[in-house]
Amino acid sequence: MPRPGYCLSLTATGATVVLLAYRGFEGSGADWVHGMLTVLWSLLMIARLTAITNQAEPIVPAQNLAQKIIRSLWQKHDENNGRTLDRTLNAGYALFGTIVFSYAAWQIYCAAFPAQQMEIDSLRDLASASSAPAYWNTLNLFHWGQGFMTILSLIMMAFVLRSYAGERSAARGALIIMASYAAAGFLFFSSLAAPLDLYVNAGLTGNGIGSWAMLMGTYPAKTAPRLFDLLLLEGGVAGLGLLAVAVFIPLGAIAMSAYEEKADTLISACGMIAGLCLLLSVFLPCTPALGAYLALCAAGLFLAWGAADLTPVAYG
Amino acid sequence: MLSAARGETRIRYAFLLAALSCALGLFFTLMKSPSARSDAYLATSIEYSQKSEPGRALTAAYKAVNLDPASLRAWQVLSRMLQESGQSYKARKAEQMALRLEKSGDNSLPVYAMPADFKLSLLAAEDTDIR
Repeated sequence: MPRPGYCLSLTATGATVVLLAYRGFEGSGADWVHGMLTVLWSLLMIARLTAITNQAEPIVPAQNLAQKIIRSLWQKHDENNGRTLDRTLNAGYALFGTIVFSYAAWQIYCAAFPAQQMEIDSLRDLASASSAPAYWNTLNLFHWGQGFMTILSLIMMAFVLRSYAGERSAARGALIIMASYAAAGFLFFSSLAAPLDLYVNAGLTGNGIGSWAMLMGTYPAKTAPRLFDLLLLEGGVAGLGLLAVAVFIPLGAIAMSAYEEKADTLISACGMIAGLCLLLSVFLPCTPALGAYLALCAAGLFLAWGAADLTPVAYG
Repeated sequence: MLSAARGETRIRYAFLLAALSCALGLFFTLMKSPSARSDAYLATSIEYSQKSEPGRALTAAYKAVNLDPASLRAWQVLSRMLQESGQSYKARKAEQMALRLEKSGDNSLPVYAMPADFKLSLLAAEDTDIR
């Protein structure tokens, strides 16, 4: 039977998706969304860590059979927790966290030292000192903060979902649903034509900020930019590479477990579908609903990663 | 027991990550985006204008426009405040910026250039009293 914490984390995933789709992640009404998501997932991670590292109460030395049975049950409980912890906080997760943090740092660096200067530098020089920095400093700080919050939420969501997915019978049901939503959502979003005023205002502080006008100039009229273009502007090719590596870490773990024929086909298939939809959906027009969809695919990917990750557990 | 043998360091790092993220997230729920602050300045400006303090209303309107140049309402309120302060030429220019914004959407004019463009148009008219 799935544990209550597992159901809670799946509910939190659903809440994340709904929040992102309804409130979006930009605009005056969505200031608090990223901070709230980070708080939510950090609380879940704290609760999950507390539960995993909670040791059994030391009991009276086992004298009769009943006490021996209870003691062995508690030892099994401790062993399971230890195994879960080893599987979840392993090198793959550490690598994933490092890569994603590096992406956040790289994004900040690109915003602080853009490769191309703004096209309207001359106009900017003419403006007095009080007008331009107010807009830029506030926007930059807020934007970087939001991006960093997103990255933190992603890392913690990965931990929480992975730690529950070790119990494969519970993970399978959720994986089927998430993979189906991933496939259906991809078909749905690729058929939508997003209007221009819904695009994410994320590209203005990126690495190739001067090319924003050029990029928009090459688009047909009234077309929304793709997430791929915004990511390219934000961090250049290096940023895209970091994100691709970050996505391929879980995919690689799933593929390796499938190769060693230790994970079952359903988990591998669902993980692959979720990962593929995640990768391909960056070529869709960028809207808040797409952000929510990406969160759903990422959650499915993390579940499959946790279910497929096979850390050899060494017990003394 | 469980903790000593199972890599206590990484558990500590994980807790640290979660606790720091919680604190940062709480801090970030309180931060306001530029467009929210711009709206707040607009409301302050209208309030000052109703209390018949045109100077403060104008300052607040300028701040609102600088924080969110893409907001149509900000430009319109700015032009109204300029009109109330008796600077009708600047008020007309601000009105023109608002009309441009309305007509072209956010495609043609780089939105972040609008405050500078406004000042430039005032410079071109040889108006010396530019704030």
